[in-house]
Amino acid sequence: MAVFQDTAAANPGRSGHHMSVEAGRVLYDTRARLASLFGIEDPLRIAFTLNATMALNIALRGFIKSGDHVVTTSMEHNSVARPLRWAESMGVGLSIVQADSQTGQVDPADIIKAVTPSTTLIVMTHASNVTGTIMPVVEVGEFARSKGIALLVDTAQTAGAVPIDVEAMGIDMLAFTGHKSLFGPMGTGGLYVRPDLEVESLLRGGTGSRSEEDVQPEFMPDRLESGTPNTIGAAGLGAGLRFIEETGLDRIKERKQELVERFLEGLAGLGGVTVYGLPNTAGRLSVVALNLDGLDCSETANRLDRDYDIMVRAGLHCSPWAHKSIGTYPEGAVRFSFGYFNTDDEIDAALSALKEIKGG
Amino acid sequence: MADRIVTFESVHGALKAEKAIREAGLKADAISVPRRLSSDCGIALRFDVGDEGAVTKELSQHNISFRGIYDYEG
Repeated sequence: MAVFQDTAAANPGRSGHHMSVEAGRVLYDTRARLASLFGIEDPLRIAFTLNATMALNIALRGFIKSGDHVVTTSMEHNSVARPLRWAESMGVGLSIVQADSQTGQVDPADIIKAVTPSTTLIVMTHASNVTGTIMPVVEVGEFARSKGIALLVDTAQTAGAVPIDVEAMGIDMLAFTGHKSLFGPMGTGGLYVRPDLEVESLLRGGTGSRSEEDVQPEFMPDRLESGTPNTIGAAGLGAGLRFIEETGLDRIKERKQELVERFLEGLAGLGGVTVYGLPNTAGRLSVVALNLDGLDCSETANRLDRDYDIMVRAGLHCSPWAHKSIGTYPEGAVRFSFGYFNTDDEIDAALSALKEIKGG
Repeated sequence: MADRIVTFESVHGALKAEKAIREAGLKADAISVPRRLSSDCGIALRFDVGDEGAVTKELSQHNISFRGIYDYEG
């Protein structure tokens, strides 16, 4: 990002001078790395956004039409829940498929059962941001494709954490954020739209292309990418993607599984702790939601932060539906999420901190 | 030496093409689109006339749509 700011901080795609072209190349390079990571054939089908929330809003607002019916799950983040509730208030049909209260898992058969003749879209998270439960996207994708129903997947939790292939998984639209497991800076994210799928733009103008015309271009990414993009952010995201390529997604995934396994094993030995979601590491990300019996989640989080310098997120995690699904609404839970750079010692420190808080 | 230029739908397409052409071992320079061709504020790629066949082959192989190919009047 520092190199970018010094050498190429001109507006990409607006001018023919060398700094502008270099900025455009930075954007394209990051787009191409993202395409490669997600199994996308044409990098230009990816439009940059500020985050996954913006990508999801563009997809939902730009795809759903009045009279459509949409199927979603009870594990969605409110970046999906709120736009869908808004759409519902505008006359769109909505079915919310309930997850299992123990595991947070959604049965693909329940999604299939919820589909009606007017269903045009299924939208689901690839993994819950509360329980870390990985959802059956492949099964749903196969069904959706066979019925000509579009599938929008929220990969905020999974992009860079587990392998994703839009073709193999039958994904028509994919929303991602750069600042989590893709090791990018905040203010980066994007939306992939399959070729021939029509998504209307929320914003118009400022594409740098077709300057003589008063209508928004219909080609990607310009159609969904209005205004000067966060190009310095894209440079940072590109560096994050290079790190993933060099390290290997499998190695990153394996390491995070080791960390979460160590943590789950330690928790089992503590007693007096309720852990939500799947019981072991299979089918879950390195996200663990828990509560210490008899202690408010915010109190646990405050003491972890104040006394141990351990930062977790307490509350509802922007996902009231998911907390209702697992029985932690409105109290919430304490959520630990581990990254590739966390160490075994840090896991052990978190476990002993929880033990002390529980004891005192 | 005569040169030709190719224009695209967008700068993003032009830069995708630039990468594909360069990776094929051919030369391509990104330049501002001449005003006589388009009022777009985008860029075009300038290449050697002798490479025209190879350049268009790369574009079609990579499914890159372009708007037109013209003589470069530098």
